[in-house]
Amino acid sequence: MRIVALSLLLAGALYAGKYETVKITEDIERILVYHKGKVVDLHRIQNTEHKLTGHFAKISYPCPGRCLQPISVHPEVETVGEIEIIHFMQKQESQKNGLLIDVRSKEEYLEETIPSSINIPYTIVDNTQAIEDIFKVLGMNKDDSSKVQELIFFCNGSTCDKSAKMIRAFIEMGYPTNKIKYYHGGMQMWKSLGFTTVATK
Amino acid sequence: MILRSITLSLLGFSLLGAASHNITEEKAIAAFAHDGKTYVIQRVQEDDAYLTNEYSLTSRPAPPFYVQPFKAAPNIETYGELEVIDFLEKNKGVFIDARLKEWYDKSYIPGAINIPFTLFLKDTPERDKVLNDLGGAKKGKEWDFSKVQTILLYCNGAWCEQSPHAMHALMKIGYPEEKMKYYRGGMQSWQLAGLNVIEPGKGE
Repeated sequence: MRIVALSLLLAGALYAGKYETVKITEDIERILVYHKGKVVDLHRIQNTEHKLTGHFAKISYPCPGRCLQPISVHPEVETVGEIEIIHFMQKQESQKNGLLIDVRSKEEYLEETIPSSINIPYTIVDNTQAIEDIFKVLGMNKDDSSKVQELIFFCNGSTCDKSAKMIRAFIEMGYPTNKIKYYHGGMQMWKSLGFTTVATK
Repeated sequence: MILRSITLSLLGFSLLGAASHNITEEKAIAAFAHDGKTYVIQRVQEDDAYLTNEYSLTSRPAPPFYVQPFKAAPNIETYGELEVIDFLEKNKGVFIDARLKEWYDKSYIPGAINIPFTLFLKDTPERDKVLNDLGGAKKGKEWDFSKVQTILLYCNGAWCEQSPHAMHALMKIGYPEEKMKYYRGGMQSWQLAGLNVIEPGKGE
């Protein structure tokens, strides 16, 4: 583990300055994260002429179905943006205290997702047994929920209600609200700002 | 006012056939009056529309166009599209496009007035006039903002610093954080959600 950390540091030094046209923040040009066991270089697209295309540039969706979603899911669940996610990856995720959760279908997740995310399709939302099993993996314990993983949920974006449904199910089953965060912008916002995505072939 | 909204929703329905791209399940379109003008907010109704204008650009140079934190300040609430629409429909305060005039003249969100962020940055008679209009009272060098209106600010998008910049300047002179709201998504998220903008150059 230490060797891996060291090689990440060295790789970081080698790439310094490569992403200075479109930086993530004043202090961060890129970060390295693990996605399905592989290192991913997470940065922003550097071509300043680059435009969003494909299905995340689509702006017409039927509602009912893809209705606009409120910015907040629950009064005690914090809504976050991209910078908060980057900091979450650097801190909670790297200390194994946090997980980024893509609640879309497995097919969508494999096609393209945010680096380091895991997939828990929202279809389990009514399956209390499945949620209980997931809770165990996340460190939920009936007597003490202080050690559970911090979670950020996301789906396709501001017209997707899957994250909200999943968050409500988790809260109903007892997951602490202060350990849940909601990325309202989702895939569409992430891509519209040129952040790195990953595909699993 | 209520009657007018109803008429307009019915009108919206009949113009669009049965609107299938509603804002929410209950709301097909939003209509409101502001300064004697009536505005309608609705989503794109065509089946296969894509964002192709300059707001589809992903990578504005940063510096200077850094992606902004989700919140502008701990007690300034961040709004999404539905909260903006609710603010306008219920007339909760003043909706401000904080970009420079040439941007506003190209396109803006229905119901927004233009007060460029630069106006809020310096102690000038122009700024004082705006703050007076919003309900502020200057006593000597100090401002009394106890009766001030709620303002909702936006600019080009999550990568635009102008509206946070304006709010930070207002905080310094005592404008209450609770009376400021931040639509972080701005022009970019608004259009990505398929919502309409007003383009003054193209007529209405």
